[in-house]
Amino acid sequence: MSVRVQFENNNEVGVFSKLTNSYCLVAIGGSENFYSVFEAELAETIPVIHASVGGCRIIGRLCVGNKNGLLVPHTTTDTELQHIRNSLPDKVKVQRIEERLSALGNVISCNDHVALVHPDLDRASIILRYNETEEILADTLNVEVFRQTVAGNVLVGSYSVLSNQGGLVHPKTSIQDQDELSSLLQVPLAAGTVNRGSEVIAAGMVVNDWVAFCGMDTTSTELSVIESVFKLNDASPAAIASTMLCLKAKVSGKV
Amino acid sequence: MDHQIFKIYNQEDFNRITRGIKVAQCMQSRSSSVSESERMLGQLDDLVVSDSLSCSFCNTVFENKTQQRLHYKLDWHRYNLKQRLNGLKPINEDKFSLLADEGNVSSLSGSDVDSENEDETSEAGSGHCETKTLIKNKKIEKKGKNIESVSDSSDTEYSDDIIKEKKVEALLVTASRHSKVFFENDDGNIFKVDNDMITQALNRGKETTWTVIMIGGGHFAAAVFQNGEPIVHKTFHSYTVRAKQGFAQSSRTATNHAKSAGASLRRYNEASLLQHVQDILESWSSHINNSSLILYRAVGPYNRTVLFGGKNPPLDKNDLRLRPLPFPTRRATFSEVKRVYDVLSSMEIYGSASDFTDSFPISPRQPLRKKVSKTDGSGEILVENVECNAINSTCNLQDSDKNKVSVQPSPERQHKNSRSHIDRAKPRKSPCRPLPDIVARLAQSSSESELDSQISTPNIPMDVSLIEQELEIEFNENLLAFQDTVPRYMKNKKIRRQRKKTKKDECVLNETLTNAKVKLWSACKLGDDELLSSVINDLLIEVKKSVELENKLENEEDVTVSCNTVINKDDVTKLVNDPNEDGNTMLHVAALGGHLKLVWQLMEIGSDPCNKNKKLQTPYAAANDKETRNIFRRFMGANPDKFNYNKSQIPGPLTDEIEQEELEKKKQQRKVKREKDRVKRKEFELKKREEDAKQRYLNLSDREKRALAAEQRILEQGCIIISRCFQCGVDMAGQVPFEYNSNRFCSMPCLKEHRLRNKVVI
Repeated sequence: MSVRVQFENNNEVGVFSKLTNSYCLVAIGGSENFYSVFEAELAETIPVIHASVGGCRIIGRLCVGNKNGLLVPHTTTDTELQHIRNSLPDKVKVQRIEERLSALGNVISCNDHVALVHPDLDRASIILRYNETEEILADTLNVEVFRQTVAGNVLVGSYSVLSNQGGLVHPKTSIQDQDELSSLLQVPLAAGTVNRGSEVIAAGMVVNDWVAFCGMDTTSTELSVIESVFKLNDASPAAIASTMLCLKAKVSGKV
Repeated sequence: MDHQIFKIYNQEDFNRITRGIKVAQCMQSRSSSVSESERMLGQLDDLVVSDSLSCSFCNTVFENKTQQRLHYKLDWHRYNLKQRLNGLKPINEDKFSLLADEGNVSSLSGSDVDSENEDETSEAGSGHCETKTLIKNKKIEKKGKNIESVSDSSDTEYSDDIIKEKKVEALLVTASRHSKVFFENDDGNIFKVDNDMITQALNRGKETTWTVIMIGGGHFAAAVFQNGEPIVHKTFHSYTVRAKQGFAQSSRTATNHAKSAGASLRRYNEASLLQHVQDILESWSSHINNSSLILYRAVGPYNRTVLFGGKNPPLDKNDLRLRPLPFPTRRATFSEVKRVYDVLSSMEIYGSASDFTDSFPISPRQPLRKKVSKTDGSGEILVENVECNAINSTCNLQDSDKNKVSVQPSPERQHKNSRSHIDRAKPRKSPCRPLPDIVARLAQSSSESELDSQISTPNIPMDVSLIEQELEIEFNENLLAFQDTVPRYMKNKKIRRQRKKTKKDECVLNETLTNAKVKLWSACKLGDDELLSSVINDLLIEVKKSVELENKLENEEDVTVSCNTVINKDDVTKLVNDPNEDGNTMLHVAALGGHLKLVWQLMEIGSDPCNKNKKLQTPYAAANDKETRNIFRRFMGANPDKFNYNKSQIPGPLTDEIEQEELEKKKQQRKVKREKDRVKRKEFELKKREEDAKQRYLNLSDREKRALAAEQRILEQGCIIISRCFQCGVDMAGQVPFEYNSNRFCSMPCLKEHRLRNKVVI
């Protein structure tokens, strides 16, 4: 299932929203169209929440999260943090981190198990406590953290999108890099674009295990690539649950 | 051979051109090119998690997954990442550990490293880069030459495989984008024609008859063409579509049956249009049956029902000759119908295959680049440049004559390249732009005048001399008002200093002064003005004496006499202004005691009324009664310049005149008050009387009240009609009187009697 959507005539939907397997954050916009598209798709399964971070609407680029937790930058105000904590499910940990690179969405890209981070993440706080941000990341999001670049770009969060099913990376990522990343992350990867050739993939789309939202400009070819990479063709929360059960049964059978 | 157009219905041309017809080379591989995206998707279907155990950044291979995962957390890996981003070579683990031991890797991030070692490597790296770019440039030049040489000769052999492959692919894409099909004939000429048309034309009999029908938006246009000439045609328009809203009325009516005049008009027109079209097509049935092709354009269900709907439709839906128009058309008019026919019946000839490939414009579109980058991933920039060249050259080829050698494209190319590589983030020199006329003139004139002055100054020395003035400005007076605003602690300091000084002074003071002081204090406390005046007189005498003595001393110039015995006026004032333990001066004490004369005398000597005691009261404020306070004011009136009264809280001077005036004022006020009182008293009395009356009335019993009311009524009536009988004098209230000669009587007998008595009058 993939949906084309626009935020106030802007195709960079990944900038204005954050989608994970257990919640969805949506920027507070002038009109409710954007929100209602998300709500129509997701409201039955996960909460869709209006949020802002540090008074900004570009929440998708500022915060990072997965089904286990959410990290917000230090610019987040107390009221915003409180609102987010109140609206998210209890099991989702919310943490505000003091990181110089405050656009966390641009420097971190993660699914529920692994995270790619900017090589310089938390360089500023090295003097204080080494790898502070990385530790918080690992604790809050329950992920294994790898420092890597995507197609020579340090902004791994902007140029790659990961879900538990697959990942889309910058179109100019070399085959070798794709292979290495794929074996590192243990998800199949493909190079691609969104929004009619935009290479800033994460800004153009958000995805979780069963649905993807892309900008209105996304071509049908791009959309079909996205659907096949993220295995969205027959994905629905229920289907995923059943496959998981099958897998479990298999594993237990073997044991 | 140049671009030529022939018509299908022209039998000779057609036969000549279509001899040995076959589909052109460029169309044959079309199927493979179209499936590009499908192929990609096919690849995506078997996406797998790769199991490559290597890191290209560090040039290492891992034994297992854990090692791999650990590696990506190492600082070594991070350092190599940085190296790669900076365009430097990666270093191996041993080297890194050495660096780390030396402490060269200061921040463990690789970017902040700046050791000599590093500099060398970076230089080496940049040098390497330069050589690379040089090589690239050479290559490009070589290719450019190749292209030029190729353009000379007619045969198309490119030494470079990449360009050829790329070009073919581009051609395929372009060809596949066209709605028409490219064919090749015996002469090797490639021509373009619509697929359907040519099959029809090849299968046709003697004559080609085509019918073109266009219908949409209430417009109808149709024509039957035979050999390029319209046999019959018809065009008409009826109002069926809402202006600027679109949609046929019937489609809107399906949801809500509009009752407006316009709606009914449109509905009627729709029906009539349908009828009209069917009539026309029926009348043309013979032509239509003869025609080999029926081309129609009818978008939407409504327009299609016009042609194919109804009980006996004008056209059969399953007719094999029916073709929808394969390209967008404008409003259905006869000229449009003719244009459509013209386009569909034309064959475009491009000449030989090589000409065709050369002449076809290839737009530099994104997909082309993508393909090339796939074939050659490493030399991306190179290939892109080459591609640009190729495109430029092909464009040139297309424009220029074949025989003409294309003009060296390199300068243009360079220009283009430079233009495309403008870095807009960098600051550039602002271009010199001519100023607008007026501004330029103004600037010129001003600069001229400046120039004049500049020229004149060195010749003629300046006449104006500078005047120096020294002005001393005293702010103290202005600042007096702000004396109070000095912060407390600073004030305290001042006071302390003063106190210290006084203490010192006290030591120095001679006995006469101490004696006088004691006496003065006692006088003030007791209110003994005689004692005070005597003491003061003594003091003044002393002062005089001392002054005389001083003068003498000055005259004699004898310095040996001790200064202790000398008393001047300042000492006296100081003495008088000395506060006691409560901060009260003598003046305070005198004022508190209400000793008017003392106050006056003290102030005359120099006791300052501005001194404040510890309650922050001035003597004026401390005074108990008005008379004392008036003394202060009087003194102020008499000696307005003796003290600075600003801070003494004395409201203003008081003289006899002022007192008089005040008295007058008070008298006046008293008068007014008395008047007011009188008026008030009167009002009060009135009120009281009224109140009494009311009370008396209320005290009466009901019977008495009624009697009173009756009495009053009778009284009132009596007042109005005081009528008594003229004869007997009986009260006639409530009776109708008998009248004669305006005399009134209670009854007829009285009247008669009166008449009998005064017969004479009548």
